[in-house]
Amino acid sequence: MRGLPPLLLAAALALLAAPFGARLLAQALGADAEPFPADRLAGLALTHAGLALAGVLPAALLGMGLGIAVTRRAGRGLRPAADAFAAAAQAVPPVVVVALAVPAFGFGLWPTAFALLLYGLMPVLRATVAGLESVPPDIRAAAVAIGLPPSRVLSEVEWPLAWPVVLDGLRIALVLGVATAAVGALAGATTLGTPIVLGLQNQNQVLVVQGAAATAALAFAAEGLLLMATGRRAGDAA
Amino acid sequence: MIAFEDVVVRFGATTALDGVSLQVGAGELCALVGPSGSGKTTLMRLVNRLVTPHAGRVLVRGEDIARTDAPALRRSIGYAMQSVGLFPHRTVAQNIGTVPRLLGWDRTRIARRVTELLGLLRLDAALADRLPGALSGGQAQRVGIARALAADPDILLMDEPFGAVDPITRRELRAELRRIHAETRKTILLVTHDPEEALELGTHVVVLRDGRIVADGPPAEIIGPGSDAFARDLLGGGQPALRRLSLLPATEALDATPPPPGAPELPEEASLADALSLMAETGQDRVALAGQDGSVAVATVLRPGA
Amino acid sequence: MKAAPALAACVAAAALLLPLPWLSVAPNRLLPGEPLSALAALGWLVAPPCLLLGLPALDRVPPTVAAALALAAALLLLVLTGGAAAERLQGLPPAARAGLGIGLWLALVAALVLAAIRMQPLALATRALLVAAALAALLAAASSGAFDALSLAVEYRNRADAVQAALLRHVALATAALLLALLVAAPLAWAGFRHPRLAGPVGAVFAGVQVVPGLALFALLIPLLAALLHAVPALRDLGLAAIGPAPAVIATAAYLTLPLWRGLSAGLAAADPAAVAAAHAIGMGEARITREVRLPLALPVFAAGLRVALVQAIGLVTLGGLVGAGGLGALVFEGLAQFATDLMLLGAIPIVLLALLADGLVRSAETRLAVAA
Repeated sequence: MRGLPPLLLAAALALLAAPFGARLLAQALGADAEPFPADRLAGLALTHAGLALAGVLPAALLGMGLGIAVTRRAGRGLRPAADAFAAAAQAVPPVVVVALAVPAFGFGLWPTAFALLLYGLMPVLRATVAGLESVPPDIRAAAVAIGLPPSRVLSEVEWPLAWPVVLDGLRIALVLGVATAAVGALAGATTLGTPIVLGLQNQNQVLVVQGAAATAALAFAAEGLLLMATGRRAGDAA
Repeated sequence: MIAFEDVVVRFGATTALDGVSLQVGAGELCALVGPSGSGKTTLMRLVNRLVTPHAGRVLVRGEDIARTDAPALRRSIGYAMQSVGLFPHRTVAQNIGTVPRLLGWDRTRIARRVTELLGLLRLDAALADRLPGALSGGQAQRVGIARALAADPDILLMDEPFGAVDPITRRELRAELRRIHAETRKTILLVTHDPEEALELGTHVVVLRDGRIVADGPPAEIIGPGSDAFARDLLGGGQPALRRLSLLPATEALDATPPPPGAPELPEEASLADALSLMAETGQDRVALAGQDGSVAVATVLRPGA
Repeated sequence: MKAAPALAACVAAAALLLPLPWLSVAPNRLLPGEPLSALAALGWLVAPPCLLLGLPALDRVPPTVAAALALAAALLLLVLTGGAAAERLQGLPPAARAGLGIGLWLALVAALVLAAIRMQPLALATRALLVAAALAALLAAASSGAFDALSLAVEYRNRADAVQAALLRHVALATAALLLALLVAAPLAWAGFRHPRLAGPVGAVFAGVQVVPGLALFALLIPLLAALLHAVPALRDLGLAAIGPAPAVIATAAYLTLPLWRGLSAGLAAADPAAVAAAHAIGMGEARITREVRLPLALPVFAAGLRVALVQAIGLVTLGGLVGAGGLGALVFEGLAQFATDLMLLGAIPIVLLALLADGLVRSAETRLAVAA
C-alpha cells in the first residue's frame, strides 16, 4: 500500500491541471488567461508517457543486461568503466544532457531520446549491480555446490534476490524519464513540458500551472504504480 | 569410493595441499580434522570440483572427475555447509527439492521425498511451507542436511556443518548424523576443527597439517601409542590414552572370571572409559558387564587387547 | 590489457578514424556548417594522438605515465583541431565559424575517461598534480592563441563578461540553495534522531519532493510565490519576487533536503551504540558525548551527503535560467532559443566541470575525514 499516497497525489494534481481546476487557481491568483483545453492536455500527457516509456524501457533492459554482464566473471574488467560512467551521469542533470545533446542530434525528438536512454540505463545498471552484489556469497556458494549450472544460479537464486533492488532502480529510471521528457520540450520535443515553456515565455501562469501539475501528476502516477508492484512482490515472499 | 592421488592445490603463492593421497571407502564416515589453514576444506572441495587440482587426480566412484561435467557431478553429491546457505526466497520444501527438480523428478515424487526427509531429520512437517528466515539455527542446519540428502546421493560432503549452532543443538545434531549414517550407509566426508567431533563421528579420521596428511586411520588407532605425535596431541587434548579408552568398547577388556557378588554393573554399550569411571566411583577393581557372563578388571582395562 | 582502458582507447580511436563530424565550417554562428571528419580535417596528424591514446591502455605502461599521456593526447587533439580550423578559415569572411563536431567531443571524453581510469591507483597528491599540469598547459595553449579559430573560443571572446558573471551567479545560487536546504534538513535530522517516530514521515515527504520533475517544480513556484506575495505584500519589501533568484533557490533547495537529511541522519546514527553506552558509563554528559563521540564518527557520513547535495545543486540551479534567476542555465537556454550551439556549450560545459570539480573536492575531504576518524 506504499503506492497509495503517490497515486492520490497524482489524482489531485491531475484535477489541478484540468481546465476548471486551473481556472479556479488562476482566479485565485488574479490571472485571467485562457486555460489549455483538456483534450490537448490529455494528448500531450499520452505522448509524454509514451515517450518516457519508449525511451526508458529498452534502456532499462540494456541496463539489466549490462549489470548482469559486469557482475559475471568474464565481464568484471568492465566494472570500473561502468561505475565511472554511472557516477558521471549522476553528476549531470537531465536538462544539461538534453542541452549537450542538441549540437549532436539537432532540435526535435532525438536529444530527448538520447537523454532518456542515458537516464533509463544508469539507475537500472547501478541497481542491478547493487542488487546482485547484495546476494550473500554463502547462498551463491551453496547454489554452485549443490550443482546449479551458472545460468540457473543467476535465474533461480541471484536474480530473485536482487529483484527488489532492481525494481527500485526501475522506479527511479521511470520517474527520471518523466522529468527528462518534460525538459525535452526545451529542445523541441512536444510533451507536457511544452505548455510550461510556452507559459513561461508568454507569462501565462495558467499554462504554467497546468503543465507543471500534469507533469508532476504523471511522475507521481509512475512512482505509485511501481511502488505497488514492489509492495506486491514483497507480499508474495512473506 | 573417493580417491585422491598425489593432489597438489595452490592458491596464488600459497600451497594449500602438497601431494595428498587418500582413499575413502564406500560407507565410511571420514572426518577431516586439522588446524585452520591445514587444507581440510580444500581437500573436501576437490571432490565436487569446487576446487581444481594443479597436479594429481581425484577419482569419484572410480572415475577421474576432471573429465565429468561439474554441475552434474555436484548434483550427484550432497553438500552441507556451516553457513547452511538456504535460499531465503524459497520455502523449506522448495529448498529441499532443489536438486530433485534439477534432475527432472516429477512433482509428487519430490513432495514424497521432502516429507520423507523432514521425517528423517526429525523436522515438523508444518515447517515445509515456511521460509528459512523463520527457522532456528538448529532447524536451518537440519534443512540444509535434508537438502544435501534430497536426491539420495551416495556421497555426502559436510563442511563444518555444526559449527554455527549452540552446544546442546550441536550434540543432538551429531547424534542425528550418526543415526543417519548408520541407517543410510552413505559415504560421508566431514570437515571439522573439533577433535572430539572427529573421534566421535568418524569411522575413519584423517589429520591434516600444512597441506599434508599426517595421520589416517580408524579413530582408536590414530590416537593410539604408535601414531603421529601431532595427531595424538591434536586429538587427545593432552590425555590421548584416556580419549582412546572412550573409543574402545568395554568388551575389549572382558575376561572369563565371573563378577564378585555385589559388583557394580556396566551397561551393554559401555566403553573402557566408562568402566574406569565406574571403578573410580565405587572403589571396586572388577565390575560386571550387562548381558555378559565374565567381568572387567582394572588391569585389563589398562592393557586392552593385550 | 584491461577491458575498461582498452574500451576507452577504442572509442577514442573510432572517433578519430571513422567518418564522424569532427570540425564544421559555417558561414556564421547560427547556420549549420559543412562537416569534416577527423581524417579530412587533420590528415596524417591523426596518427600522433592515436599513438598517445593507445599506449595508456597497455598494462605495462605505469599509471602516472599512462594518465599523463592520455591528458596530453586530449590537449594535442584540441591544439591540432585549433590549427586545422585556422587553416580552413583563411580567406573566408570574418563571420565564418569553425565548430567542433561530435567526433571531437567523443574523442575528448574518451581520452579523459582513460586518464581517469588509469589515475585511480595513484595517490591524491599525484592526481591533483597531473590535473593541475594539464590545466596549466591548456591555459598556456589558450593564451598563445592555439584555439582562437575555434567557434567556441570566438563565442567566449564575445561573451566573456557574461560567462564569468553567469558562473559566479551560478555558484552563488547553488550555495544559497545548499544553505537554505541545510537550514531545513539539519533541525529535522536532529529531531528525527531524538524522536525516531518523526523520521519516517519526514523522509517520506523529502522523498516525495524528488518525484516532482524539476521543470514542473521550478515553474510551479512562480505562481505560488506570486500568490504568496499577493497575500502578504510585506514580503515584497524584503526583496522577494515571484521571478528571479527566489523560485530557483527554493526549488533547488527542495531537492537538496533529501540527500542532506539522509547524510545527517545516517551520520548521527553512525556512532556505535556500545561506544555511546560506554561514554555514558564513564560519566560523560549528553552534550559531551555528541561532541566527542558522535560528531567525529558522523563527519565523513555528513560529508558524503553534502557531496551529493552540492553536485545536485550545481546541476539543478541550471533550471533557474528559465525562471529569471540567471546563472549558467540562462546561457544554455539563450543558446537553445537562438539555435546558437556555441553559446549553449559555453553554459553547459562549465556546469559539468563545476559538478565534477565539486564532487572531486568533497570526495577528497571525505577520505581525509574518514582516515582521521
